[in-house]
Amino acid sequence: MNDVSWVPGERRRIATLGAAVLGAMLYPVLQNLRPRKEQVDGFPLSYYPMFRQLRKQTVRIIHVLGTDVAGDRHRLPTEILVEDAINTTRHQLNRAVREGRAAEYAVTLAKKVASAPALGHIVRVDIVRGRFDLDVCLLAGPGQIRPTDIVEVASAPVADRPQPPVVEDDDAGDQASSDSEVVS
Amino acid sequence: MKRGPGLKHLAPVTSAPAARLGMSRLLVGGFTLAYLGLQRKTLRRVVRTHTEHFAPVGPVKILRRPMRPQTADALNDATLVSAALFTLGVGHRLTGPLHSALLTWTTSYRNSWSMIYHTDNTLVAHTVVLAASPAADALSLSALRRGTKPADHPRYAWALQLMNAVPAVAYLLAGIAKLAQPRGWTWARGDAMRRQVAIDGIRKEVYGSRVAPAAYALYPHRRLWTAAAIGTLVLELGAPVALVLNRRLGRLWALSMFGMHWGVEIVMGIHFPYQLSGISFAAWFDLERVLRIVRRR
Repeated sequence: MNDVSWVPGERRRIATLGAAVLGAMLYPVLQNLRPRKEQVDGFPLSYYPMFRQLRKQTVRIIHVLGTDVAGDRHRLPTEILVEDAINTTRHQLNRAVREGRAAEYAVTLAKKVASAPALGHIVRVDIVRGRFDLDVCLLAGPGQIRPTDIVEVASAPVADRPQPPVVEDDDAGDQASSDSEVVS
Repeated sequence: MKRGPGLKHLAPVTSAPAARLGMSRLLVGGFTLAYLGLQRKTLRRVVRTHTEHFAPVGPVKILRRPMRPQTADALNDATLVSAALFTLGVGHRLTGPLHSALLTWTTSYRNSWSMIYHTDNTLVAHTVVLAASPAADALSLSALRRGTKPADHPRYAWALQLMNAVPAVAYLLAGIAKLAQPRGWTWARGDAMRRQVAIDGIRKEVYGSRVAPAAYALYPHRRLWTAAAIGTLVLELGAPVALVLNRRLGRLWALSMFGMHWGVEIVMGIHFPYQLSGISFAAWFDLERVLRIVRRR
């Protein structure tokens, strides 16, 4: 041990660096003590709030569907919906709905659909809030993920395409809860 | 084994070869270069999306509105250049902190346009540690020019130990968050983890992707989820113990966490590139041995 030599001040510098790095990383743990609505996540320092959320048996997910001229709804391909990553898009869409910008978001997507030759059958873009039962979706096996009920949040027509027939609200609600609502 | 004077009560820090820390720098810098290089086009696209999506995080909070896309592109490219210099170990006292600052900014700026991704936290913290340590005393262009081989020293071991502590703290916080959820210790039953996997899969499906086949296969088996949840809590809350007790336990912990990330990849399709590459845990191991093997050949 005696043959180990240090540059003056080096050990203090190391200790300061260690304390600063670990202290900064540990600091966000204090968020757990704040009221839930006041908790704020950050980067690169985080308290990993995704693990704090209570996970229930059903989940509501805001997502986007395309409607054809007959009124049937279809999932849109990832290339149309996602600019960066699925979670980025999901976050941006949730935020748009929260901030009252859902209609604007739907218009942007409708323009993208209009320029996609493979989506010529889609005449309207709908932003919806679907409720999914986890057991129903996962225990039935692949391809069975469908909402148990669905509520429209905003929609935008695809330019220059005929629109599906308008239905009364009650009928639309019944149709929304049917199994044929989402066609994969 | 020699211990760092005055610090031995904190952790089993011994002397370490400069080449081990140098290898860590090479791995972390090389990973950053490849990672950001592959993401370059995506980053250019993200900073050109609607300004309404901009919600600054971390150091980016100093901005009230987004930078011009061209400025963001230039900073991203500067980060790539600094990553190359950092990896080569050129002018480390200057390029190290510069790269550390640029990487922190670039990753924070990217996260300011989306939900916060937690995949890069450890990479950024490791870079901060390497930048502030003598990580270019060996295996660098500067060391090659000097032509000297530094002796083993605790100053290298401390940087490596701090690199090991970084993910340990991150996992500890993740473990605490799990227990801080409204149902507390019941997280260990596995229902929360099972539901989280299901919710993540459903979200992927409605956004045009697919649920991982392993999620369907494992979902009905509740006991497996209980075992996985208990194992996760033991690993995460036990991270500091592995850090301070002994290096062998630490390596076992590192291998377990590496395996856990591959499990997350298979079951949830959530990609943690830095952790899946193993570089996040590399500082636990005698990396300089790789050099000896290469030299023998």
